[in-house]
Amino acid sequence: MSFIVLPDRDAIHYFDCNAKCNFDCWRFGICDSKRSWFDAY
Amino acid sequence: MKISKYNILRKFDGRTVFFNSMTCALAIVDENFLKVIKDIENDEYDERKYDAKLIEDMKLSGCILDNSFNEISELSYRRNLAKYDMTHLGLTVAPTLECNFRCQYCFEKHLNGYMSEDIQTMLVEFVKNRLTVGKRFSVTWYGGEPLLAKKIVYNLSEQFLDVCQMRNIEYDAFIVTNASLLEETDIDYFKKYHINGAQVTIDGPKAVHDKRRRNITGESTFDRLIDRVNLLLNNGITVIVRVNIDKENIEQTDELLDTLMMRIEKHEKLKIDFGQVTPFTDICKSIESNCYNNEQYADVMLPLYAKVNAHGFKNNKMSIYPTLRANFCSSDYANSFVVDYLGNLYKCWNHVGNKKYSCGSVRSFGQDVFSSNYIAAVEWNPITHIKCNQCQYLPICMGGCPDAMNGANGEPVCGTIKYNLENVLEYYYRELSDGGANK
Repeated sequence: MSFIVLPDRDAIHYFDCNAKCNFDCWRFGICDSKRSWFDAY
Repeated sequence: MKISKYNILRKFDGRTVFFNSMTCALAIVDENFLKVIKDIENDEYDERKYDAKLIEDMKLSGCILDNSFNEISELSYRRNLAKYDMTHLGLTVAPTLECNFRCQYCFEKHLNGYMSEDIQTMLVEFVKNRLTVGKRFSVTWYGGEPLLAKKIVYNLSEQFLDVCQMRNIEYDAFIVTNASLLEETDIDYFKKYHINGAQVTIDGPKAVHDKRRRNITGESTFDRLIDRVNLLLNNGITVIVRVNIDKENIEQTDELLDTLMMRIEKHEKLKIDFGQVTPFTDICKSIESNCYNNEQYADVMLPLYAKVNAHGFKNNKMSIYPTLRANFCSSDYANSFVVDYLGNLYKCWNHVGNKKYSCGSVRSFGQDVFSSNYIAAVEWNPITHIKCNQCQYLPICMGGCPDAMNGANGEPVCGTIKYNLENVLEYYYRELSDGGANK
């Protein structure tokens, strides 16, 4: 099994991030938490 | 052990590719992986038979689960954690609904008026009340055109920052602006007031943009906006160029991307986001025939983002990779509100200025019983809807746009990901895997 995109199991970090958004901030690229996740690729 | 109901397996180039919509893991798998799945299905699973790392990865990816694990319950629990988290307040503030543009697809009534000092004072009090257990406060400046009311934006920012500094609360802001009124002097205010990002809409190359996003006086705005995007990016402010897409301008996206690559100095930092033009309100019904529905848009959006990446805009690599959604948007998040210049509160951006959809007022919110509009928005729950509850895409769709559902007799309107996930997975397989054809 060879991961192409790692599982996002860091639930607290992830959902805390989502809860902080008043809209899809990660889509708009301003969420640092999400950016660090995406930067892995 | 049992198998996740959110596993999706596809074959690309003769290789089996696995995706799990609860964790958004993507992996190339082999017959050993498939053997574990088959053994579980046949009730012949014996962990000692398999490679320990494989089992560890299969658990990590959400592919296999303990028998007692209930995925729907976990999804529901996580969703509630996010939805009722009162440590964060999200506000979208429209200090005016007036606008100096007349975009052909705009869904807003451009009511005349600006937020009065009285309403501003009440809004700050509202913020204080909503932040009693707050740790973070995020504001999106919206309109109309918020820079028509820049004095109000800066005055409120000053007071919001004071509240946050006194209470040790993190503060950040973002602005949705047409950028035409942005001056060099505003940059210092943006930095002072933590306006860290801006969304600026450019709808195509010059002729196309100027036709769709007319200045109220009929003047061209394209060159001015390119210049303003450079001003923002060169000063370290994040910019998302939004391109609103419908059947009228989709063919010109290559030309726009060429122009942006040529004329945006820090193009490597630029984010590009395509928006699906939708006839949200009666005001923009006239453009309905130009619009794509979700199923049609799913077909055209992936090639658009692929073009962005192919043009070398490096900051957009993961733009359309599916992400887990706890709640859908501000509408179903308890401590998030849209505020108009009269102090009326809404749950959805599309409703701003339409009193029928208001869920309260900064004057009195929370002092009385919560309004039915507020409760209906926050309590919308796709997990309990049979269509969504059974759907493999639920964790990455979360029922689709709640406002669209209102126009569909209460039936969830599935997000685009339902229609193009397979193509999206193939795209990322090719982009990111070692053997990917796009390497």
